[in-house]
Amino acid sequence: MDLGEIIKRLDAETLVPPQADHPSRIHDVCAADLLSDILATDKHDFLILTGLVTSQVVRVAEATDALGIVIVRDKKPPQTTIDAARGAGIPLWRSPFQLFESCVALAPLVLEKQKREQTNNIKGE
Amino acid sequence: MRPRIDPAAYTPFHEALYDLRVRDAMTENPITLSTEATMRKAQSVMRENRISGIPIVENGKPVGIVSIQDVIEALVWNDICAPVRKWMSCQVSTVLDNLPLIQAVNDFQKHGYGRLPVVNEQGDLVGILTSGDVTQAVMFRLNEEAKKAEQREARRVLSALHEGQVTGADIVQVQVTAMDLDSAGTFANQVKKALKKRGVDPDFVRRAAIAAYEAEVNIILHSMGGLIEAMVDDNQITIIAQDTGPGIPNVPEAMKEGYSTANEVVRSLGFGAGMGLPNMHRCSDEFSIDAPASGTTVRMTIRYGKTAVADKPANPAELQGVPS
Repeated sequence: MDLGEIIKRLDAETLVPPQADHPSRIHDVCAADLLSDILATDKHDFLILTGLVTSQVVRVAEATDALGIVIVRDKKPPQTTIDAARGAGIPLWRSPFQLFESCVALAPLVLEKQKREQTNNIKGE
Repeated sequence: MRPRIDPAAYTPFHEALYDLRVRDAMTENPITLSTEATMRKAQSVMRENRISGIPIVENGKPVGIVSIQDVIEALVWNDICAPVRKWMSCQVSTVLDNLPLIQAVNDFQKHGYGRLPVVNEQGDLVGILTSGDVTQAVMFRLNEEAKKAEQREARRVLSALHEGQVTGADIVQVQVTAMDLDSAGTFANQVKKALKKRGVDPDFVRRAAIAAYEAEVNIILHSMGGLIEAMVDDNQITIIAQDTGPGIPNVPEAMKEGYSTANEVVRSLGFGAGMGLPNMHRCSDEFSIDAPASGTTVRMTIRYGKTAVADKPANPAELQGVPS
């Protein structure tokens, strides 16, 4: 999935921009309001969607190698969180959507990606 | 003045006790009265402050002491309005603030004192020492020493785990403070750097970072603080997280996904999903937990060298607190 397209669909404001060498493709999305749920995910090359705004979201993103964080519900994270994200090189956005609405907005992209993967698997067989 | 103990039998506990000074245990700025205060005043001060004796001072120096016994005597003789100088004990035994505490303990035992006014070298009153103060200071110091001993033991175990196998291993060590969430992730970050430096596969780095982070947050949120350490070599990482209590009453229950004792505040911060211990177990090739009331120790090993994932219990809830 194209990162730019995801950000556009979420109508997200950039708080910490991606670095020049940041991957432009996202494999998956993890939407959660509990950090342990993010820590428990097996997803890779993923984007975090969350309503949490503390700097611990950034620490969790670091531990799980997440490719970025989108804070939902139009929440404004404290400066400490923005500074932590900048320091860790993790891009940070803010979306006016609710968590569920964000998932709905991204669902077509995820379904399209899954369809593509299925087709590739069939061809591979 | 030290009790007769074979010097060879001295432990860090003995040393710590003998290092305690009177000023470490005394109550500073004690309540005092002047010689002109009445015995009635002494009686009410004792009642209000729930104390049984008051040093009497003149120009900052102790000149006497009035005890509850003196107040009773004054009442019996219907002399409660008299100034304290009439009823106070003038033979005041004092103790210097820089003397070893053990010396004051000997004075308590020898003379049966309930309290001792503490003076500095100029003879000014700087505090008061009761047997309760002594007990509290000794208990506090013993507790500190016990924590240090636990940390020494954790380091010894960590080294012993790798003894003879490793040269040039990296040690990552972080002291974790209870409820200091701002620092959460410090250890996980250092672990990640140490592994990346060795060129470890990113999937293993992620597993180790998650296990490290969960262990770190557990100490912060659910204990009274502790020490978390890792030894990193070319084949594996071993993490030992040790806290100072209150332990986990039911380990198999705590190992179940979704089981949590977190309060509302902790949950509002995004923690308390009840996934911490199961997550640590999932990320580890070897996992053990020992959780008596005195403190929990979690040991995790992740192997990324020639030896891959080891056997682990099919059901984490079956863990009984013994190394797997």
